[in-house]
Amino acid sequence: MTDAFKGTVCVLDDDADLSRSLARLLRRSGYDAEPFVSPDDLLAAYHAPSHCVLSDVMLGSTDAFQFARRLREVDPSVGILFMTAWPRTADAVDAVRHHGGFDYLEKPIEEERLLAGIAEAVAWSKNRRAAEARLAALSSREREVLQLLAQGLSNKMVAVELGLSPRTVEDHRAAITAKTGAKGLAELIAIARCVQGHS
Amino acid sequence: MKRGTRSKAAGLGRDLALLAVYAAAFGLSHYVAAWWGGAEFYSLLYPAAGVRLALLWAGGAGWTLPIIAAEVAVQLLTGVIDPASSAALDQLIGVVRAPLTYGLTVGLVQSLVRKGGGEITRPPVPFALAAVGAPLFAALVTIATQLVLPGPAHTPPVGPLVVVAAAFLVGDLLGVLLVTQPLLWIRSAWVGGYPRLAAVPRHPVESLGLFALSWAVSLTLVQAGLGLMLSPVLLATAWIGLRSGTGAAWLAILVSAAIALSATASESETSARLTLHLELASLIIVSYLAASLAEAQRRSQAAIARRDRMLYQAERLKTLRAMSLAVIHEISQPLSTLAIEAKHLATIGRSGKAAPLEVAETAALIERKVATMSDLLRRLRTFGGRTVGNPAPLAVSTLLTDAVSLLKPDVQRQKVVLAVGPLDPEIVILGHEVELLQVMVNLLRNAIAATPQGEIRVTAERDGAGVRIDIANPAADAPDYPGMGIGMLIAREITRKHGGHIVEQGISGSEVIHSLWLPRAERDD
Repeated sequence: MTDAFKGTVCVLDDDADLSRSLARLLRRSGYDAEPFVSPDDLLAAYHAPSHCVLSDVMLGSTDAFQFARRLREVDPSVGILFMTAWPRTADAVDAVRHHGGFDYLEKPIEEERLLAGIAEAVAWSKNRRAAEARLAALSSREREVLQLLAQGLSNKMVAVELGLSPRTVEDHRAAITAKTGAKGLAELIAIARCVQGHS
Repeated sequence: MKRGTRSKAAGLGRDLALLAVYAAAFGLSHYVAAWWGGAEFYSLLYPAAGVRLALLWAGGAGWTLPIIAAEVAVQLLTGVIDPASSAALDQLIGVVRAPLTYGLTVGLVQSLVRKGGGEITRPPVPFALAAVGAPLFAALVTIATQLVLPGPAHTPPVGPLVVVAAAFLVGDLLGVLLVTQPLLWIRSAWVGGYPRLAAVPRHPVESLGLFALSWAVSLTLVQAGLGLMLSPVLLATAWIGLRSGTGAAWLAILVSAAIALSATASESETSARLTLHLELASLIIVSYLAASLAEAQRRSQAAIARRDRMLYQAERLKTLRAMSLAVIHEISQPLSTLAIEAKHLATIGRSGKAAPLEVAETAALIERKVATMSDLLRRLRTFGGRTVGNPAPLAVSTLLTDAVSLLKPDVQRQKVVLAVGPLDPEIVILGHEVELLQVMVNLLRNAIAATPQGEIRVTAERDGAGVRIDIANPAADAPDYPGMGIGMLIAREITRKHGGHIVEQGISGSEVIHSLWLPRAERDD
């Protein structure tokens, strides 16, 4: 019945039964899912980073978007999905545009859409975590250089921008390539962009 | 095409018939006026002018030329215009002058109305302008033509000319004021458009009493040798107009005119008659204006009442929306769980690998969710049942809890805290549940909207023979929130109907407190 492990998901809804049901559903679909009823409980228990958090929009006295901001401070690489019993266009736009939500699901929840959204969020989170791991060894100067390269600047332009000599920039670039194990500029840019989105 | 021609022909026939009726009415009223005015027609009451203005006002300035033709025809028949006489042209000008000036005045006033804007284009001002303006214009033109074209028939010197013109003015004015209005009423009974008369005037006893009293005062003054003075009657008819409307005012005016005109028949001195008749004209104008004003005010009050009802309805819809939001939220939660679990049961049922414990747990969960939804439905059903009919005893604690649960979405959106103090379930009031719920919802919603952040405290306690519900919210520096205060108006109105009141206790410290007081229901203990 249970598929291979796909990722970790936290489910947050102030209705404990629904939260548990959703977690069971996700477990059956191969995720390591944990139910929560309050944002504080979730944040307190959030030691090992998850790949995805599925959160209700109406959370008792707390606002789900505020919770999403707090969560991102703790872990910028977690994918977030929102669900609600009272869908509003303004909320839907906010959820996706300003809070990096992968989807805004209406209750009663459509299972296929939920699973597709979770899969997308988990995949994104995994990619980002992998990219972060590869960039972890970079110095802060090297990160700056990489960021500008990812924006499409040439070595010379990066040198002007950071007040360095082109020679130094080339050294940095070599160091970045060595540390990340990237095979070329294209891959470097792909890694850098992975870390930039949804934060 | 044929039909258009036929209806055009029918229209022309109707117009000609109307013109014939006009000619007859004009001739008759002109002839009647000769009884008290003499052959010269410089009378002090000239009803023909009223007939003329009625047709012009109802039909428009386009009737000017037909009216001139009709009047010339009538005067040719009555011999006022004698084609053989050397003064024929002068006579013709004399006859044409009045309908021409009346037509011009009506055309001017009606074009002003068509342009719109401003107070003078709103009824009754346009009619008043025409009724006073037309005779005045006619009198001025009379003086001018008499000075420019001195004819042989009547060419008095300038002094007497002014007197004659004044008499002419007052005569036309009285004729217009007394005759035009009832003619327009008669027309409106057929085709509508002009304000109709009320069948029975309001306050008939008061009006009659006051009218009689005012004439008693005037006649006492006559007895005392002071002569006839109409001022007391003017005050009375103006009052009747204000209180009882145009119809009653017109009746009072008609009786007053009859008394005043018959009293002046014996008056030989022109200046005394003129003064009295001018006074009568003022009386009529003031009374009509008062009556029209009162009627316009009543109409606008009715319009405001209608709008109030619509706003009330809109406010109810808002509350219904909040209710449906809460219901949808409460139903979609268990429904989400049910959907997931039912699908799971179906899947494991099909696979034939169902673990008995898992099935039992899932079934128990489904049962619990179904029970939750059934409870919700039962609550809603009783809620709906109690919305109609007689007032029922209601626990204040339930009302407040329901209102707070309805406003959950607003509270979350505004990020405030709604703290409800300990509620005594024994406090019971008598009323309509939905209406009182609306009061609580409106007051709480106002408090939420006025609170940028912080805590809104709600308490309810016994206070004398009633219950006082205090809603305290932190005072905002600059209260700035959308809305027109309709919620509060409606809350006040409902509370008033339930024998209570709402007081804003101003700012106590850093809080604004709204206190809702409602009488407690007597309980049979």
